[in-house]
Amino acid sequence: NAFSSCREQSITKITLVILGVDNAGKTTILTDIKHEDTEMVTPTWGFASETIEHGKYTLTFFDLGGGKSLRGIWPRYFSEVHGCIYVVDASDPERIEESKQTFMEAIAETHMQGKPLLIFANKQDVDGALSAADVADRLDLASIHSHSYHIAACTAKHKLDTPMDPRLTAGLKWIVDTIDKDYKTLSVRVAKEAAEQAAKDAIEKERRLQRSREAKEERLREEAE
Amino acid sequence: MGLLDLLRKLKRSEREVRILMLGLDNAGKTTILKQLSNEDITHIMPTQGFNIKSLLHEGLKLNVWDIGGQKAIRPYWRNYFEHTDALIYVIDSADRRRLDETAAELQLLFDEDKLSGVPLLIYANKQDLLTAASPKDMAETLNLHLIRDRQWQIQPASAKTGSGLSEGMEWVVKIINSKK
Ligand SMILES: Nc1nc2c(ncn2[C@@H]2O[C@H](COP(=O)(O)OP(=O)(O)OP(=O)(O)O)[C@@H](O)[C@H]2O)c(=O)[nH]1
Ligand SMILES: Nc1nc2c(ncn2[C@@H]2O[C@H](COP(=O)(O)OP(=O)(O)OP(=O)(O)O)[C@@H](O)[C@H]2O)c(=O)[nH]1
Ligand SMILES: [Mg+2]
Ligand SMILES: [Mg+2]
Repeated sequence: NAFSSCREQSITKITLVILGVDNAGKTTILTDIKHEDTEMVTPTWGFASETIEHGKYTLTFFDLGGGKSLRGIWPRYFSEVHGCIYVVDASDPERIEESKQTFMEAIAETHMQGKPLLIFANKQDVDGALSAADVADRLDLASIHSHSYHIAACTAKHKLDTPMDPRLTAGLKWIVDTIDKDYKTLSVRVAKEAAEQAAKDAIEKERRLQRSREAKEERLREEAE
Repeated sequence: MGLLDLLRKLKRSEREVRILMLGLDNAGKTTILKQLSNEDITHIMPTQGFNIKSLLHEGLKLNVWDIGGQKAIRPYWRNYFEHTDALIYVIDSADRRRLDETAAELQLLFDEDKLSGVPLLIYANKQDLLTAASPKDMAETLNLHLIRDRQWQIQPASAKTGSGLSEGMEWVVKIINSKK
């Protein structure tokens, strides 16, 4: 199945994380990429991963929940990714400041440093949606010098019998090409940082298991008394 | 409804899926199952073996296996792993003292070959009792952020009031449908 192939190392294996606040359209965009029905999407309170073949690339996407109380785990995935797709609901100006803050925090993370960023100004079908230029302005993209980035407008949601927005495919092509140009350096870094992260996680996991054994013993002791 | 939706519905109605429900004793597994099938939840005893319930959802027949969670029974969980389409893991969010213990049991499940890749729904149950740990804290304590080989979703719920239960099941159904 698609999941087991994620582990295989192929020279053109690219991993991308899709971020954005809740309701931005992250899962809808991923559903588009899979050519599935975008009208069936429900909120994510967790994690999903998809792997597709795209030309000479094997692309893996991490789709994470954007709800406020889950955003804190995003950085846990960053060491493994080559780039980030950030989705903004352009039809919701009231949440754009929150979206900007969330974006700035994410790209300031060590493991996200210097990695290419593709920003989608989604929901262009909604009347009054901000243009890509407006969203770029509101996110203050001009202030970013640490990453290469690209912004595109799009409409992710569509009826099953209409084609997907070509701007999505074009955006995807931009990030894949950008990663490809610097693939060697980037993939060496990803491998190194992912291994470091995995080692850290293993220690933390062991500590947690130890704590659970201790808690259990303590509880059993108390129950025996 | 388009023709495609209709065809998909027809196909779905023939499908039976197997859902395994696990978690520590007292987590609320049996109560959840009774709530989902609109049964009385006032006199529920600890489960000594297992219960099976078939729930119909959007034409899908969900056979839910609810296995007792007492320590002495846990070694038998593995007898039920085969052919599982989705795993539901129930946690008593109010029982903070046992959060680490439940994390350790869940960790053992992650390491099971027969359950590898099986989508995971966590019911963060008993939300009516307290301001529970945030989903982020739970996800970290449960090591969910280390999972790469399966989809997971954490659903706050209360088997007592019924809140969150159907949202969780809808996620399960959606995942199972998208796999076919
Ligand atoms: N009008 C319109 N609605 C869209 C578009 N894309 C997504 N939506 C809708 O926006 C809502 C949220 O979409 P999701 O894809 O679930 O958003 P998400 O970013 O994954 O949200 P979380 O999983 O909660 O973090 C859904 O109701 C979608 O149908 C779009 O291009 N236009
Ligand atoms: N307040 C509250 N109590 C709950 C909730 N869900 C279950 N309970 C109570 O928790 C106790 C255990 O519930 P069960 O459904 O028997 O738990 P179980 O997971 O099936 O336990 P085992 O069969 O021993 O594995 C019962 O007293 C339930 O009434 C909930 O959402 N809120
Ligand atoms: Mg989502
Ligand atoms: Mg029970």
